[in-house]
Amino acid sequence: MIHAGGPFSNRHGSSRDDFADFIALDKHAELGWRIRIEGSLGIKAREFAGPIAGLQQIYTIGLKHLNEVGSRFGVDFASATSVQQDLIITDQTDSATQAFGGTAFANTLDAQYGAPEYGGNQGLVGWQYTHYSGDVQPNGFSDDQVTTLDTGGSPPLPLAAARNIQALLPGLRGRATPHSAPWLGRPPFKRG
Amino acid sequence: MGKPSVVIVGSGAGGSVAAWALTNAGHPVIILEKGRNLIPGLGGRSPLGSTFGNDDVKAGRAFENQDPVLEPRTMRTQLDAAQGTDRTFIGDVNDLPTTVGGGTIHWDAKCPRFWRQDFKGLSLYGPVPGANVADWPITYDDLAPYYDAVEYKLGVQGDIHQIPAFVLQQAPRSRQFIMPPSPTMYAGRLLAQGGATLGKTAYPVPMAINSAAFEGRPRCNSCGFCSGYGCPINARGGAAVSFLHDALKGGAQLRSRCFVYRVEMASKRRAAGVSYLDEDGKTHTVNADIVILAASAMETPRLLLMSANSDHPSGLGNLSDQVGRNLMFHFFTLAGGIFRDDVHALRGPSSTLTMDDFVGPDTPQMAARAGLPYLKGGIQELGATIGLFAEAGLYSAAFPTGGKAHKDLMKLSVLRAHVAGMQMPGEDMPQKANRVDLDPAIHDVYGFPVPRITHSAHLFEITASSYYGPQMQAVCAAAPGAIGSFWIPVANLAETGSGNPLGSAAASAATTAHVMGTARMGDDPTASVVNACSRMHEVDNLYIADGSVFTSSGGFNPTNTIMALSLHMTHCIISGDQPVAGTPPMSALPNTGGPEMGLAEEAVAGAAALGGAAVARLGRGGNHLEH
Repeated sequence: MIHAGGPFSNRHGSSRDDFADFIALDKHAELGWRIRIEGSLGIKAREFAGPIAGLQQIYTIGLKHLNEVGSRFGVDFASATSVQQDLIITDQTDSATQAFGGTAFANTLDAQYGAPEYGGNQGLVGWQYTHYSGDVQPNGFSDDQVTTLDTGGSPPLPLAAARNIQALLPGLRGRATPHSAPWLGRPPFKRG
Repeated sequence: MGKPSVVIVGSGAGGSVAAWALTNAGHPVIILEKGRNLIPGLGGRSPLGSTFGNDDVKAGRAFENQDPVLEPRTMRTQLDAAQGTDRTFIGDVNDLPTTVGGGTIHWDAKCPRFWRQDFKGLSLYGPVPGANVADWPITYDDLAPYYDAVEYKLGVQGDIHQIPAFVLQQAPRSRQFIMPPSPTMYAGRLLAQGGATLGKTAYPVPMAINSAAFEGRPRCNSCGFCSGYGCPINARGGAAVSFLHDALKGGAQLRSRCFVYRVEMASKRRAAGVSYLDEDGKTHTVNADIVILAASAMETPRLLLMSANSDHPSGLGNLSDQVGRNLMFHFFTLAGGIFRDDVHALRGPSSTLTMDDFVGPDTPQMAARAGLPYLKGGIQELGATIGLFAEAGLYSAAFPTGGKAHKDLMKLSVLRAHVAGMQMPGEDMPQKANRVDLDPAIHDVYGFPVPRITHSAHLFEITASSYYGPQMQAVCAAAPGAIGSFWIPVANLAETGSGNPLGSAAASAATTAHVMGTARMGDDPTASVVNACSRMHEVDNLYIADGSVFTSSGGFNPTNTIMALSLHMTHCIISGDQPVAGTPPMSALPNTGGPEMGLAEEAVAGAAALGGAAVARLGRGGNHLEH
């Protein structure tokens, strides 16, 4: 369940949902995903470039850490109020929380904004509030939709939003994907 | 006795063009590719399929990309190297797709040509302090017929009548494009209008996207998942669908998931073949009369260095000490206009217009103040934006763990739906100290040393970015309806690492997948690695067909030039391994002047006829290349 199939879902003109037929990993790709999920576990064949913590360890340790921090409020993290949870998660002085949060966030994006065949984005909610067209093949867009203004998308922008966006612009440079934490990379503007 | 046998390492842009031309010329060809094949039907008689979709999750999960968990690279700056630091980063360093078809499996298919001046930088403009500037041993005019042939086979769209005269003077074209431009994207047109008020000229960017059905592949339907995504309908030309497919049908043999780790030598000056590991880790050796390395400007020098032996102790063909050096990227600068309306810059291929007014050279005061003789930038891709996942990632720079603020930004979609972006792949100066070598301690899943990248930007590209960036912003600000604008020295930011949690070296090369220069072409064997035919100076039957051979980087996407150089190389091979002098006639192509706008039948027929026999005819006309 790593790579959805292709080329089409059944959302825009195809009667068949190819996305639902996930593509089998071959031996090489499977090793990469076992290391990502299970970790290198001290196995020599997995530690050619050093040890890697798998998602299983990252989540086990990370959730335990959140509960420990939550004990400051006298509760488990899961039982804390949303305000308390936000305080815990956004504590920039807690590097363990931030590292776990970065991985959990990257994984959450897949569920929030990915194709629903991956198990999230139910009812296409993540695409609706972003006014995102999602996967549009095989219909694609018409020449008119490409060449002319189309008011059916994202609503007109409040001017204040345009003014305040400057702070985020440096992030457009992207971030490289490190070997030891493959979830933390993100694509830049577009790299041609 | 048959034609010499050929083994090609890598099935990307250079490797597939070589496989196609040499197969059609009657050479037995084997292609070894370390990735897997993701195109159903490739090499068969039935229509091509696709395993790609409009799928951001898959694109982010090393589907076609090299997996940095299995095949990491390492990185450091020149300063790190001087201080004895082995590396400061392990992971994805400018990784290209590792799959059959290589980088072109998800390229944005821009096909600009290098300009005349790019081949003669030293003699035209002189040296740049601290950079290793050199002339190429070939000229634009030598390469022009090969550009023609590659572009016709790829199915490159464009309109010669809309290209400004100053561009045609630098990159003359003898014929119209094989198909007309795609519909102009709305966001790009806004920026073009802004540019026009400032005296800048936008025109349809030449690109290998079908604006009409071509060679059994359909017209592009503008889905928007282009640069960085495999095409779900094969409407984009590329190494696999345009060249390798026909090579395989013609009898070439493709072996995927085969990692080549060594070039085997028969004698000091002759390669015997290559050794590789198959998917099960078993060792094989393929012997061939001719060996072509087309593994990328990262992996080819790595392979040459791993192939060191007693005759070539510092790496194969490395007496010049240039193997792995002069590594060049493109130095990206971004600008954008912010619009009140949704300008839907995702609809269409990544952009349909370009603008060459910032290619240079220019000699502003700020160049002189920086001690530089001139500045150069590059082409502009007009009217691009980011996808949903890239946008989410971007906002995470401010809100690393998400939350409501992040979601609110996603709802507004300012930097995706309301931006028309402008992107410049700026020219990067070659420096000896920017290099690929073998990491002394880190290995890949195959057990071999990974490529280590040492890279720091030259003042040239940093200054150029600062010079052209504000001018790019001015274009965006002048676009009708723009309520805001910005320019971002993305490469500068990455280079200095400001605010980057992974440190400077981690991201300094992360803004580009264009890699060039690590086995440079030249006439002087003491200062270059390959000759004008892309043949190694020190090994008579070993050729290189990827970005490694670039002597300069230009301000242009490199793939079209990689392909043209590869076809030029095959011409040398077919015509008896002689260096090319002058321009071979292109008797196989339609008449100069070519078809008028649209898919003229004779043009399609001409492109289809450009098989190996046609390539073999490239030398016809009584010049010395006929053997």
